[in-house]
Amino acid sequence: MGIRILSTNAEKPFSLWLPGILIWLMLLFCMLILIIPVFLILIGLLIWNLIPGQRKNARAYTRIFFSIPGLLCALRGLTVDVESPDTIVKIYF
Amino acid sequence: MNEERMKVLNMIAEGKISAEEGGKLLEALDKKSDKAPEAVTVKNEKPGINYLYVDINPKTDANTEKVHVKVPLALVRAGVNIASMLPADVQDKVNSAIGEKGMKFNLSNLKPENIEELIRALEEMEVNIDSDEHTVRVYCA
Repeated sequence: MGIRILSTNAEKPFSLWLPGILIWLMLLFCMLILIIPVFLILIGLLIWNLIPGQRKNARAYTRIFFSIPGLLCALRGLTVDVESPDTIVKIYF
Repeated sequence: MNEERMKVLNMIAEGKISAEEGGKLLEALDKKSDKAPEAVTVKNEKPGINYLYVDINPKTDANTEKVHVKVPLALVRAGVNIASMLPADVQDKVNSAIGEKGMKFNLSNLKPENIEELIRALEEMEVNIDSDEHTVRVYCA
């Protein structure tokens, strides 16, 4: 897992290298920041599910919410490798 | 298998076995024939495909882009699962938005149980584009 962006243009040098461990640490940090909003969303979904007549929509959005981690896990193996004359982009999940 | 059935029928006709015994033998043969195709289908199963590849390669070396993208089909599965979870009114809005772009597509037809069939169909798919500057290849493996 990692992201590498490299400019080979001598006039505009640029280099970015995000190794997998750093991305995981950033994700962990994001999770810590988002823990309160996620908790509030969960409470909101629970209340929405309890409202009579709203159960169908509420259940649909609850299922979508809980399938987001699965979507992130499904990204595993995604590879983007672009090489142009002045830029190299490599993204590995 | 038909030969075996014929032998049993002949044995009944010749009186070597009773009709009841013959019936039991025919039943046993039926069960055997039911199991046989299963074994064949298991043998014919190919290993599943996991990735969709998009490769764009230049024909000339200088000043052209090379693109290699590998998309896990698990992402397609997850996307279809989420699309199928959308409420009907949201699906209608998505369908009309897709329709505005000139594509007739009904999201409600996209069901998780059909996705495996779709992925199996992708196994046979291969797109090869050969232009003056690039070669493009889209395939699953």
